[in-house]
Amino acid sequence: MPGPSKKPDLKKLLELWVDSSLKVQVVVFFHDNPGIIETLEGLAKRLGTNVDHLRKEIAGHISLGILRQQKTDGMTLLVYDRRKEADVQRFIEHEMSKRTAEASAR
Amino acid sequence: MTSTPAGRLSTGVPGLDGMMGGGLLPGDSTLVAGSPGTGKTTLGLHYLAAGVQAGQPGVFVTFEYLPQQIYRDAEKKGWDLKQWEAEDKARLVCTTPKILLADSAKKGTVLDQVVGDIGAQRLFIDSMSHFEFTGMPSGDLRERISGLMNHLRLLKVTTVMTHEIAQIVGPAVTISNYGIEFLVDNIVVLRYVELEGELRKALNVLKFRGGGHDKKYRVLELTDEGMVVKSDFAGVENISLGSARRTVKERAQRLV
Ligand SMILES: Nc1ncnc2c1ncn2[C@@H]1O[C@H](COP(=O)(O)OP(=O)(O)OP(=O)(O)O)[C@@H](O)[C@H]1O
Ligand SMILES: [Mg+2]
Repeated sequence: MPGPSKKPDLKKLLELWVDSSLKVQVVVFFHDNPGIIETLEGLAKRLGTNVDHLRKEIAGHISLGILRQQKTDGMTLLVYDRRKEADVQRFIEHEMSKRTAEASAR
Repeated sequence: MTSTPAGRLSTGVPGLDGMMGGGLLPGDSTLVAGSPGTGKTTLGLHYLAAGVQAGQPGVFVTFEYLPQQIYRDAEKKGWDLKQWEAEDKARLVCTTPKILLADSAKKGTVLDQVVGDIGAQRLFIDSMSHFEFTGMPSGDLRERISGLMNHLRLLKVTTVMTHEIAQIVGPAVTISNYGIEFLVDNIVVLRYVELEGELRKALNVLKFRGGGHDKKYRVLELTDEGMVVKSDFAGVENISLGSARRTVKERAQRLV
Protein backbone atom coordinates (compact mmCIF):
# COMPACT_ATOMS: atom_id res chain seq x y z
CA MET A 1 0.00 0.00 0.00
CA PRO A 2 1.39 3.42 -0.83
CA GLY A 3 1.91 5.63 2.20
CA PRO A 4 0.25 9.04 2.31
CA SER A 5 3.31 11.03 1.14
CA LYS A 6 6.82 12.13 1.96
CA LYS A 7 5.57 15.44 3.31
CA PRO A 8 5.81 16.08 7.05
CA ASP A 9 3.18 14.03 8.79
CA LEU A 10 0.44 16.39 9.84
CA LYS A 11 -0.78 14.08 12.56
CA LYS A 12 2.71 13.91 14.09
CA LEU A 13 2.97 17.67 13.94
CA LEU A 14 -0.34 17.86 15.69
CA GLU A 15 0.72 15.43 18.38
CA LEU A 16 3.47 17.83 19.30
CA TRP A 17 0.75 20.02 20.61
CA VAL A 18 -1.70 18.43 22.83
CA ASP A 19 -3.60 21.66 23.35
CA SER A 20 -3.78 22.35 19.63
CA SER A 21 -5.63 25.47 18.71
CA LEU A 22 -8.75 25.30 16.62
CA LYS A 23 -6.87 26.94 13.74
CA VAL A 24 -4.65 23.93 13.34
CA GLN A 25 -7.49 21.49 13.97
CA VAL A 26 -9.32 23.02 11.04
CA VAL A 27 -6.32 22.56 8.76
CA VAL A 28 -5.69 18.99 9.82
CA PHE A 29 -9.39 18.21 9.53
CA PHE A 30 -9.53 19.40 5.92
CA HIS A 31 -6.21 17.81 5.09
CA ASP A 32 -7.64 14.45 6.17
CA ASN A 33 -11.08 15.12 4.69
CA PRO A 34 -10.46 17.46 1.76
CA GLY A 35 -13.81 16.73 0.16
CA ILE A 36 -15.92 18.19 2.94
CA ILE A 37 -18.24 20.98 1.83
CA GLU A 38 -20.10 22.42 4.77
CA THR A 39 -21.83 25.44 6.19
CA LEU A 40 -20.17 27.27 9.06
CA GLU A 41 -22.77 25.75 11.39
CA GLY A 42 -22.18 22.25 10.05
CA LEU A 43 -18.42 22.58 10.34
CA ALA A 44 -18.71 23.82 13.92
CA LYS A 45 -20.77 20.73 14.71
CA ARG A 46 -18.27 18.39 13.07
CA LEU A 47 -15.43 19.99 15.03
CA GLY A 48 -17.35 20.14 18.26
CA THR A 49 -17.05 23.89 18.66
CA ASN A 50 -19.34 26.88 18.44
CA VAL A 51 -20.05 29.02 15.41
CA ASP A 52 -18.77 32.35 16.74
CA HIS A 53 -15.48 30.89 17.86
CA LEU A 54 -15.02 29.04 14.56
CA ARG A 55 -15.87 32.11 12.48
CA LYS A 56 -13.06 34.06 14.16
CA GLU A 57 -10.58 31.20 13.95
CA ILE A 58 -11.00 30.54 10.22
CA ALA A 59 -10.68 34.16 9.08
CA GLY A 60 -6.97 33.55 8.43
CA HIS A 61 -7.62 30.41 6.39
CA ILE A 62 -10.06 32.32 4.22
CA SER A 63 -7.72 35.22 3.60
CA LEU A 64 -4.95 32.74 2.74
CA GLY A 65 -7.28 31.00 0.33
CA ILE A 66 -6.98 27.58 2.01
CA LEU A 67 -10.70 27.82 2.68
CA ARG A 68 -13.05 29.39 0.22
CA GLN A 69 -16.29 30.95 1.37
CA GLN A 70 -19.20 30.77 -1.00
CA LYS A 71 -22.78 31.97 -0.78
CA THR A 72 -25.32 29.53 -2.20
CA ASP A 73 -29.08 29.54 -1.71
CA GLY A 74 -28.82 31.68 1.41
CA MET A 75 -26.16 29.41 2.93
CA THR A 76 -22.51 30.25 3.40
CA LEU A 77 -20.49 27.24 2.37
CA LEU A 78 -16.88 26.50 3.21
CA VAL A 79 -14.84 24.66 0.61
CA TYR A 80 -11.25 23.51 1.03
CA ASP A 81 -8.88 24.27 -1.81
CA ARG A 82 -6.80 21.13 -2.14
CA ARG A 83 -4.48 22.73 -4.65
CA LYS A 84 -3.21 24.83 -1.74
CA GLU A 85 -1.57 21.96 0.16
CA ALA A 86 1.85 23.66 0.09
CA ASP A 87 0.32 26.74 1.70
CA VAL A 88 -1.21 24.46 4.29
CA GLN A 89 2.23 23.12 5.20
CA ARG A 90 3.57 26.65 5.48
CA PHE A 91 0.62 27.69 7.60
CA ILE A 92 1.25 24.86 10.03
CA GLU A 93 4.97 25.49 10.21
CA HIS A 94 4.30 29.15 10.87
CA GLU A 95 1.79 28.37 13.60
CA MET A 96 4.21 25.88 15.11
CA SER A 97 7.16 28.23 15.29
CA LYS A 98 4.90 30.86 16.78
CA ARG A 99 3.84 28.38 19.44
CA THR A 100 7.41 27.32 20.14
CA ALA A 101 8.44 30.96 20.51
CA GLU A 102 5.53 31.58 22.86
CA ALA A 103 6.44 28.52 24.90
CA SER A 104 10.09 29.47 25.27
CA ALA A 105 9.13 33.04 26.22
CA ARG A 106 7.11 31.71 29.13
CA MET B 1 -11.33 -7.72 -17.56
CA THR B 2 -13.49 -8.03 -20.67
CA SER B 3 -13.68 -5.01 -22.93
CA THR B 4 -16.64 -2.67 -22.80
CA PRO B 5 -18.62 -2.25 -26.03
CA ALA B 6 -18.46 1.17 -27.70
CA GLY B 7 -21.01 3.59 -26.30
CA ARG B 8 -21.25 1.83 -22.95
CA LEU B 9 -19.66 2.51 -19.59
CA SER B 10 -18.35 -0.33 -17.48
CA THR B 11 -19.59 -0.53 -13.91
CA GLY B 12 -16.31 -2.17 -13.00
CA VAL B 13 -18.12 -5.04 -11.30
CA PRO B 14 -17.17 -8.37 -12.90
CA GLY B 15 -20.32 -10.00 -14.20
CA LEU B 16 -22.62 -6.98 -13.96
CA ASP B 17 -21.97 -5.25 -17.30
CA GLY B 18 -22.96 -8.40 -19.15
CA MET B 19 -26.35 -8.34 -17.46
CA MET B 20 -26.98 -4.88 -18.94
CA GLY B 21 -26.04 -5.42 -22.55
CA GLY B 22 -22.39 -4.57 -21.95
CA GLY B 23 -22.64 -1.61 -19.61
CA LEU B 24 -24.38 1.63 -18.76
CA LEU B 25 -25.50 4.10 -21.40
CA PRO B 26 -23.78 7.49 -21.19
CA GLY B 27 -25.88 10.09 -19.39
CA ASP B 28 -28.20 7.55 -17.80
CA SER B 29 -29.00 7.32 -14.13
CA THR B 30 -28.87 4.03 -12.26
CA LEU B 31 -30.27 3.33 -8.84
CA VAL B 32 -28.56 0.68 -6.76
CA ALA B 33 -31.06 -0.24 -4.09
CA GLY B 34 -29.90 -2.60 -1.41
CA SER B 35 -30.29 -3.92 2.10
CA PRO B 36 -27.65 -2.95 4.69
CA GLY B 37 -24.20 -4.36 3.99
CA THR B 38 -24.99 -5.76 0.54
CA GLY B 39 -22.15 -3.85 -1.11
CA LYS B 40 -23.70 -0.59 -2.35
CA THR B 41 -20.69 1.54 -1.46
CA THR B 42 -18.31 -1.09 -2.81
CA LEU B 43 -20.14 -0.97 -6.14
CA GLY B 44 -19.54 2.79 -6.21
CA LEU B 45 -15.81 2.31 -5.73
CA HIS B 46 -15.76 -0.20 -8.59
CA TYR B 47 -17.60 2.31 -10.75
CA LEU B 48 -15.07 5.03 -9.93
CA ALA B 49 -12.11 2.67 -10.48
CA ALA B 50 -13.46 1.59 -13.87
CA GLY B 51 -13.72 5.26 -14.82
CA VAL B 52 -10.15 5.97 -13.80
CA GLN B 53 -9.05 3.03 -15.93
CA ALA B 54 -11.11 4.22 -18.91
CA GLY B 55 -9.94 7.83 -18.65
CA GLN B 56 -13.34 9.00 -17.39
CA PRO B 57 -12.90 11.07 -14.22
CA GLY B 58 -15.48 10.50 -11.52
CA VAL B 59 -17.00 12.22 -8.51
CA PHE B 60 -17.98 10.20 -5.44
CA VAL B 61 -20.48 11.99 -3.20
CA THR B 62 -20.98 10.68 0.32
CA PHE B 63 -23.31 11.89 3.04
CA GLU B 64 -21.43 9.92 5.67
CA TYR B 65 -20.07 11.99 8.50
CA LEU B 66 -16.40 11.56 7.62
CA PRO B 67 -14.94 10.39 4.31
CA GLN B 68 -11.84 8.88 5.94
CA GLN B 69 -13.58 5.51 6.10
CA ILE B 70 -14.08 5.50 2.35
CA TYR B 71 -10.39 6.12 1.71
CA ARG B 72 -9.63 3.18 3.98
CA ASP B 73 -12.19 0.86 2.38
CA ALA B 74 -10.87 1.73 -1.08
CA GLU B 75 -7.27 1.18 -0.02
CA LYS B 76 -8.12 -2.28 1.33
CA LYS B 77 -9.30 -3.22 -2.15
CA GLY B 78 -6.17 -1.80 -3.75
CA TRP B 79 -7.61 1.51 -4.97
CA ASP B 80 -5.62 4.61 -4.10
CA LEU B 81 -8.36 7.21 -4.04
CA LYS B 82 -6.01 9.91 -2.70
CA GLN B 83 -3.68 9.35 -5.64
CA TRP B 84 -6.59 9.57 -8.08
CA GLU B 85 -7.55 12.85 -6.50
CA ALA B 86 -3.99 14.15 -6.76
CA GLU B 87 -4.10 13.31 -10.47
CA ASP B 88 -7.54 14.92 -10.93
CA LYS B 89 -9.05 11.58 -11.93
CA ALA B 90 -11.49 11.55 -9.04
CA ARG B 91 -12.99 13.64 -6.30
CA LEU B 92 -14.54 12.54 -3.06
CA VAL B 93 -17.15 15.02 -1.88
CA CYS B 94 -18.57 14.81 1.62
CA THR B 95 -21.52 17.08 2.19
CA THR B 96 -25.18 17.23 3.14
CA PRO B 97 -28.24 16.66 0.92
CA LYS B 98 -29.33 20.25 1.47
CA ILE B 99 -26.02 21.60 0.19
CA LEU B 100 -26.08 19.24 -2.78
CA LEU B 101 -29.47 20.59 -3.85
CA ALA B 102 -28.54 24.24 -3.28
CA ASP B 103 -28.04 26.38 -6.34
CA SER B 104 -26.55 29.79 -6.84
CA ALA B 105 -27.22 31.81 -9.96
CA LYS B 106 -23.58 32.82 -10.23
CA LYS B 107 -21.66 29.64 -9.61
CA GLY B 108 -24.22 26.90 -10.10
CA THR B 109 -24.39 23.99 -7.71
CA VAL B 110 -21.58 22.50 -5.69
CA LEU B 111 -21.73 19.55 -8.09
CA ASP B 112 -21.34 21.80 -11.14
CA GLN B 113 -18.12 23.09 -9.66
CA VAL B 114 -16.64 19.73 -8.73
CA VAL B 115 -17.68 18.11 -12.01
CA GLY B 116 -16.24 21.06 -13.92
CA ASP B 117 -13.06 21.01 -11.87
CA ILE B 118 -11.94 17.58 -13.11
CA GLY B 119 -14.15 17.20 -16.18
CA ALA B 120 -16.04 14.38 -14.52
CA GLN B 121 -18.00 11.96 -16.69
CA ARG B 122 -19.09 9.71 -13.84
CA LEU B 123 -20.94 10.47 -10.66
CA PHE B 124 -21.77 8.28 -7.69
CA ILE B 125 -24.08 9.43 -4.89
CA ASP B 126 -24.18 7.45 -1.63
CA SER B 127 -26.98 7.49 -0.67
CA MET B 128 -30.27 8.99 -1.81
CA SER B 129 -31.89 7.73 1.41
CA HIS B 130 -30.35 10.71 3.17
CA PHE B 131 -32.68 13.03 1.26
CA GLU B 132 -35.53 11.54 3.26
CA PHE B 133 -33.97 12.99 6.41
CA THR B 134 -34.16 16.57 5.12
CA GLY B 135 -37.70 16.82 6.45
CA MET B 136 -39.02 17.91 3.04
CA PRO B 137 -42.53 16.64 2.20
CA SER B 138 -42.26 13.72 -0.22
CA GLY B 139 -43.96 15.63 -3.06
CA ASP B 140 -41.43 18.48 -2.84
CA LEU B 141 -38.61 16.04 -2.49
CA ARG B 142 -39.65 14.17 -5.58
CA GLU B 143 -39.72 17.41 -7.51
CA ARG B 144 -36.27 18.44 -6.30
CA ILE B 145 -34.76 15.03 -7.08
CA SER B 146 -36.41 15.04 -10.48
CA GLY B 147 -34.82 18.46 -11.04
CA LEU B 148 -31.47 17.08 -9.92
CA MET B 149 -31.75 14.20 -12.41
CA ASN B 150 -32.48 16.57 -15.27
CA HIS B 151 -29.60 18.75 -14.20
CA LEU B 152 -27.23 15.76 -14.16
CA ARG B 153 -28.32 14.81 -17.64
CA LEU B 154 -27.48 18.34 -18.84
CA LEU B 155 -24.10 18.04 -17.11
CA LYS B 156 -23.58 14.93 -19.28
CA VAL B 157 -22.49 12.76 -16.38
CA THR B 158 -23.48 9.13 -16.02
CA THR B 159 -24.87 8.73 -12.54
CA VAL B 160 -25.05 5.78 -10.20
CA MET B 161 -26.78 6.38 -6.90
CA THR B 162 -27.63 4.17 -3.98
CA HIS B 163 -30.70 3.81 -1.83
CA GLU B 164 -31.14 1.71 1.25
CA ILE B 165 -33.73 -1.04 1.44
CA ALA B 166 -34.59 -1.33 5.11
CA GLN B 167 -35.75 -4.95 4.92
CA ILE B 168 -33.17 -7.68 5.38
CA VAL B 169 -35.26 -10.54 4.03
CA GLY B 170 -38.92 -10.96 3.16
CA PRO B 171 -41.18 -10.27 0.23
CA ALA B 172 -41.88 -6.58 0.76
CA VAL B 173 -39.38 -4.41 -1.02
CA THR B 174 -40.09 -0.74 -0.75
CA ILE B 175 -37.33 1.44 -2.07
CA SER B 176 -38.16 5.04 -1.23
CA ASN B 177 -41.10 7.04 -0.01
CA TYR B 178 -40.74 9.68 -2.73
CA GLY B 179 -40.77 7.42 -5.78
CA ILE B 180 -37.13 7.67 -6.83
CA GLU B 181 -37.56 4.34 -8.60
CA PHE B 182 -39.66 6.14 -11.22
CA LEU B 183 -37.13 8.91 -11.79
CA VAL B 184 -34.16 6.76 -12.80
CA ASP B 185 -33.37 4.91 -16.02
CA ASN B 186 -32.07 1.73 -14.45
CA ILE B 187 -32.48 -0.14 -11.18
CA VAL B 188 -30.18 -2.75 -9.70
CA VAL B 189 -31.37 -4.51 -6.55
CA LEU B 190 -29.00 -6.03 -3.99
CA ARG B 191 -30.62 -8.16 -1.33
CA TYR B 192 -30.34 -11.04 1.04
CA VAL B 193 -31.90 -14.39 0.35
CA GLU B 194 -32.31 -17.09 2.92
CA LEU B 195 -31.52 -20.42 1.37
CA GLU B 196 -31.58 -23.54 3.54
CA GLY B 197 -30.77 -21.62 6.67
CA GLU B 198 -28.00 -19.57 5.12
CA LEU B 199 -28.15 -15.88 4.24
CA ARG B 200 -26.84 -15.32 0.73
CA LYS B 201 -26.54 -12.15 -1.30
CA ALA B 202 -28.33 -11.76 -4.62
CA LEU B 203 -28.28 -9.17 -7.41
CA ASN B 204 -31.00 -8.44 -9.92
CA VAL B 205 -31.32 -5.89 -12.71
CA LEU B 206 -34.91 -4.82 -12.12
CA LYS B 207 -35.19 -2.23 -14.84
CA PHE B 208 -32.92 -1.21 -17.70
CA ARG B 209 -34.00 1.47 -20.08
CA GLY B 210 -31.19 0.73 -22.52
CA GLY B 211 -32.81 -2.40 -23.90
CA GLY B 212 -32.60 -6.09 -23.19
CA HIS B 213 -31.18 -7.15 -19.87
CA ASP B 214 -30.66 -10.22 -17.77
CA LYS B 215 -33.69 -10.72 -15.53
CA LYS B 216 -32.25 -13.45 -13.34
CA TYR B 217 -31.29 -13.17 -9.72
CA ARG B 218 -27.58 -13.83 -9.58
CA VAL B 219 -25.27 -14.80 -6.76
CA LEU B 220 -23.45 -11.77 -5.41
CA GLU B 221 -20.20 -12.15 -3.50
CA LEU B 222 -18.06 -9.65 -1.64
CA THR B 223 -14.40 -10.49 -1.29
CA ASP B 224 -11.08 -8.78 -0.55
CA GLU B 225 -11.08 -7.62 -4.17
CA GLY B 226 -14.60 -6.22 -3.97
CA MET B 227 -17.79 -7.33 -5.63
CA VAL B 228 -18.33 -10.20 -8.07
CA VAL B 229 -21.58 -11.26 -9.73
CA LYS B 230 -21.64 -14.99 -10.30
CA SER B 231 -23.96 -17.59 -11.76
CA ASP B 232 -27.69 -17.63 -11.28
CA PHE B 233 -29.27 -19.55 -8.44
CA ALA B 234 -29.76 -22.71 -10.49
CA GLY B 235 -32.59 -24.89 -9.30
CA VAL B 236 -33.80 -22.33 -6.77
CA GLU B 237 -37.14 -20.56 -6.76
CA ASN B 238 -38.90 -17.79 -4.83
CA ILE B 239 -35.85 -15.57 -4.49
CA SER B 240 -37.89 -12.40 -4.66
CA LEU B 241 -39.80 -13.58 -1.57
CA GLY B 242 -36.56 -13.50 0.36
CA SER B 243 -36.85 -17.10 1.49
CA ALA B 244 -35.89 -19.18 -1.47
CA ARG B 245 -36.20 -22.92 -1.81
CA ARG B 246 -34.79 -25.42 -4.19
CA THR B 247 -37.22 -26.48 -6.87
CA VAL B 248 -39.00 -29.81 -6.54
CA LYS B 249 -36.87 -31.19 -9.35
CA GLU B 250 -33.66 -30.03 -7.68
CA ARG B 251 -34.73 -31.51 -4.34
CA ALA B 252 -35.66 -34.82 -5.96
CA GLN B 253 -32.33 -34.94 -7.74
CA ARG B 254 -30.50 -34.36 -4.48
CA LEU B 255 -32.26 -37.31 -2.90
CA VAL B 256 -31.04 -39.81 -5.44
N1 LIG C 1 -13.08 -9.30 2.23
C1 LIG C 1 -14.37 -9.47 2.36
N2 LIG C 1 -14.91 -10.70 2.31
C2 LIG C 1 -16.24 -10.86 2.46
N3 LIG C 1 -17.10 -9.88 2.66
C3 LIG C 1 -16.63 -8.65 2.73
C4 LIG C 1 -15.26 -8.37 2.56
N4 LIG C 1 -15.08 -7.04 2.68
C5 LIG C 1 -16.30 -6.53 2.89
N5 LIG C 1 -17.23 -7.48 2.93
C6 LIG C 1 -18.67 -7.30 3.15
O1 LIG C 1 -19.06 -6.14 2.45
C7 LIG C 1 -20.14 -5.52 3.11
C8 LIG C 1 -19.91 -4.04 3.22
O2 LIG C 1 -19.88 -3.52 1.92
P1 LIG C 1 -20.44 -2.07 1.65
O3 LIG C 1 -19.98 -1.13 2.69
O4 LIG C 1 -20.11 -1.76 0.25
O5 LIG C 1 -21.99 -2.34 1.80
P2 LIG C 1 -23.14 -1.25 1.85
O6 LIG C 1 -24.32 -1.87 1.19
O7 LIG C 1 -22.65 0.03 1.33
O8 LIG C 1 -23.38 -1.16 3.42
P3 LIG C 1 -24.22 -0.05 4.22
O9 LIG C 1 -25.62 -0.52 4.17
O10 LIG C 1 -23.63 -0.13 5.59
O11 LIG C 1 -24.00 1.25 3.56
C9 LIG C 1 -20.25 -6.15 4.47
O12 LIG C 1 -21.42 -6.90 4.52
C10 LIG C 1 -19.04 -7.04 4.57
O13 LIG C 1 -19.39 -8.22 5.20
MG1 LIG D 1 -22.64 1.98 2.21
